[in-house]
Amino acid sequence: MEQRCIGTSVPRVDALEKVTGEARYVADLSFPGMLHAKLLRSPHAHARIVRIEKAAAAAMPGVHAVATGKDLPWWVGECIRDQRPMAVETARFAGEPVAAVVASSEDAALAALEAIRVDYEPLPAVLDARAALAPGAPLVHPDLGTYHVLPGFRPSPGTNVFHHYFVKAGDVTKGLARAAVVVEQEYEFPHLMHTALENHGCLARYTAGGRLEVHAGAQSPFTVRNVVAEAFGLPRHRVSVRGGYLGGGFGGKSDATVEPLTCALARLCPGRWVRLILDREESFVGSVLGRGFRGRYRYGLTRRGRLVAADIDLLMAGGAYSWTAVNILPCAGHNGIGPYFVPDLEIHARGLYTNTPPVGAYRGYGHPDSQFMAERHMDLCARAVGMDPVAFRLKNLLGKSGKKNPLGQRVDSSAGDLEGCIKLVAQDIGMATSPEGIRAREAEPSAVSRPAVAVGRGLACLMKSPGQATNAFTTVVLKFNEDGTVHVISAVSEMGQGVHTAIAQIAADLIEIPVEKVYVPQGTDTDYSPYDWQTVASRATWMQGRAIAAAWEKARKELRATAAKAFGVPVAKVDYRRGTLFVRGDESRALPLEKVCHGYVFPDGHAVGGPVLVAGHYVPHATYADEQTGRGELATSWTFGCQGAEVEVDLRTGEVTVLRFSSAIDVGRAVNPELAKAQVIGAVVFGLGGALTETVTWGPRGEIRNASMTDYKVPTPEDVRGIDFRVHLLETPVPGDPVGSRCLAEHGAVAVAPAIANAVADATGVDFFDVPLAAERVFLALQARAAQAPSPKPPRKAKGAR
Amino acid sequence: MSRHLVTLTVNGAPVTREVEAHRTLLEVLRDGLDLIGAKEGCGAGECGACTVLLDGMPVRACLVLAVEADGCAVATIEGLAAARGPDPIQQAFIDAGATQCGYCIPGFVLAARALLDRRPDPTDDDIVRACGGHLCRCTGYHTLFEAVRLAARRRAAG
Ligand code: FES
Ligand code: FES
Repeated sequence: MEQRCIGTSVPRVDALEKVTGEARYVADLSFPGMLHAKLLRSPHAHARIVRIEKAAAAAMPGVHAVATGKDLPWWVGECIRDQRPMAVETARFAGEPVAAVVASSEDAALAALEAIRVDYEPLPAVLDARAALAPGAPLVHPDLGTYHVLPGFRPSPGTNVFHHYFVKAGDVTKGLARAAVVVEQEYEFPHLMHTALENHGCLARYTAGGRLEVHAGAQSPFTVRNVVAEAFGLPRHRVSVRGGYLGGGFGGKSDATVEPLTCALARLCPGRWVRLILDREESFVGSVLGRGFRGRYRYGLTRRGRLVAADIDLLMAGGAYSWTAVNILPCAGHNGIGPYFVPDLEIHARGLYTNTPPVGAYRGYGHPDSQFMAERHMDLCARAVGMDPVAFRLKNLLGKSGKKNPLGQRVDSSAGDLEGCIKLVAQDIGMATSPEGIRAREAEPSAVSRPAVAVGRGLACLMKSPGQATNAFTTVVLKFNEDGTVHVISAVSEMGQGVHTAIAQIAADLIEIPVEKVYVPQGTDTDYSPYDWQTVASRATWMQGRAIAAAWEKARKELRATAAKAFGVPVAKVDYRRGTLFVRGDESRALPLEKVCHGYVFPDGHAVGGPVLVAGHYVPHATYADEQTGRGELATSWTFGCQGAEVEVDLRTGEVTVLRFSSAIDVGRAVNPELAKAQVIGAVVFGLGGALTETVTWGPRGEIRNASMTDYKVPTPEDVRGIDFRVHLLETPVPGDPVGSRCLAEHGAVAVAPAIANAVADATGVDFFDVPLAAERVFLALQARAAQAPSPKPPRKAKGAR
Repeated sequence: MSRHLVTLTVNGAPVTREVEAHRTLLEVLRDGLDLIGAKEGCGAGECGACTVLLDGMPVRACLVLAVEADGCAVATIEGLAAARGPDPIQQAFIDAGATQCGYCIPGFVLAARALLDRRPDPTDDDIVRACGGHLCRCTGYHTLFEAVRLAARRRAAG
């Protein structure tokens, strides 16, 4: 059989542009007469804006406009419209823009900013979810009751709660009462920053004809279009948003961030392009943050280690505006238990307004946040009933049982071989259930003993479904060219994940032509590109694959119809294979694709058929959550997997070194195995940052204290050089799917933190219930334990500790 | 604001520009010469995205004042590829699957170029050191290390 294109590791279609520096990103664009915008930001987490003196700035050379929030009277937001392009009357987080200058150069704009005077009256601020929930807490949005809110979202006016998602099954009170063992613990996954290498940026212009044109460094040009069109009351066809390569997204560019403000400023200078590119510090304080969850977990178990009840309460410090955070809550909520079956459960996930920068999507969208807690809790529960953590997980797996997940969906083994994933990872890191496996592993060099170093192993399962709107359509256009080559036109953004390569492969595979004959144009223009909801949620390759299959179905039909005319036979007699149309049963009568796909020309010159141009779309079946139970088709495709780590903890310094990190994920079918593996390893390292070194730290006034790449510690080359990464891609077929791939992108980041924390607990006997496990925190925890127990048991598995 | 005449040899061609004293080399390359291959990730010497070669040595163009570079030879990513295609180091980055979003890549390619010019047969320590101070948020670095190793092997093989 002919080699198929899906499943081969063809080189990335965009690699050459990227290694030569040809690839253009939003900050690389410039236009004649372009103006530059700079922002003045609030130094206070919460303050009334008493007065802004801007006349002096407006009179400075090169200045075209100076604006305050009052000059931009629009509302921004989707599900809950609670934000303005710039603060009006109240600044709700340190870093919120309060004034802007548009000038002929960046220098002129910066100089004019210096001339603006703002008088603030500081207000009491809430920086933490628990403080925001406390009775009598200062209100971040006293006018919450007046906002435009879509159905299904439940802000509570008079409080800081902007949404409360819950899901229930069985009777958790009874379940817990019946349980022989109850394990309770609180956890926290603090705020993180995406830190994509490329900062946020946007260019916008109002044309003389009243159209709004935007170049966005955004993952989802159509979402940007919707948000700004809604904000300014423009019909969609009067707004065009163009997107191109992104220098990393990770969720931070998935909603609108700087775009509404840039567009609002462009309205003040009609006809001119206005460019707003944030600097690094501004990307930290003035875009969106990630995570920010606390959770209380209470599980009931039988003495023999079966989970019987789970009571989970999650709180998110969602920041000053909620519309980019609100949909994370259901994902964190219904995934908050991990891939295990629990008959009686209740999960609550509440989002709180806080006087911090807004939270937005962050690689994994709620899943890593709550699964950190769930997977740590699984280790605690295993310990409580004296079971091995691997055996305990295997005993409670959801998929094996064919039982229902919290949403009420039946999950069986066709959803992925999670058991296989767990076993592979356990084997890799030396948690194999068989003694021979462990001995074999320990004989390897990485586990060799060193003084005062403890080695430990831990694993955690992961599961993820795309969190998306119920009508989150994707569309694709197949445009056949005169020579039989094909344009596959799609609005999904290429931000490093390799989706354009995967799309080319899927199209080539389905159309049965070499991948070299397929071209996926880079860049989206909402005027010309077919609709795609958002490039988020690891959904693009999966959704596009199905849309391409639908489009090809139509194209094939058209090609056969044209060929039938050419052959003078009924359509039913025409078939297509590998770039050739032929008469069934008489393959000597055949026409190559290129003779048919732009119409067929008879010897006398007359033409039939026409250039084939077809669209296909896809959306999975999804529903809203049921009001009473929180159940429903909120998850439309699952990807399951397991991740595990072997770590070394230096007992003198607290430093955690990852020796080996293994990931096994059931991807259905790997479209491009090398790209998929690279994506997993990249996500693991991204996750290691959040597990070991990264956290947003806050100053006394609620300002971010570490808003630089030196102080916010993302993994460096030195940090990861010694890690032995293992990646297994399992391929359990997806029934009835034309491509067979499952979602894969964020997954490598989902279970990293719990795997590391479980391994550190295994190594040292010290439990961490939050991240990051930075050396100083581990050191202090080791010290604290030593102080508490003067003659402690030697840490488990400590090798040569004196 | 004092202005100064600065003469550079950029990718082999002489260029003279009048610049203000506070302009960085990165600003002059990107805004003045339209060489946008060098990226700004931090503007503060923390990420390596703006790396160019100054007389063959990798520097952070966001930290170098244009006047400091007066009289120097500057190599940017645009100068590496020949008319017929990518140079061997760029090809190694393609073949090793080292690019994802691509924003950090010009910096890594130039760092690799400087390393291999100095040490044709680098150890892993050399490679990690040469990548030190360069951040990549996408790849997890291992494919980047592999790209440099591959480039070195290919150079050695001629
Ligand atoms: S932009 Fe120069 S080092 Fe980051
Ligand atoms: S490839 Fe995206 S930052 Fe390196």
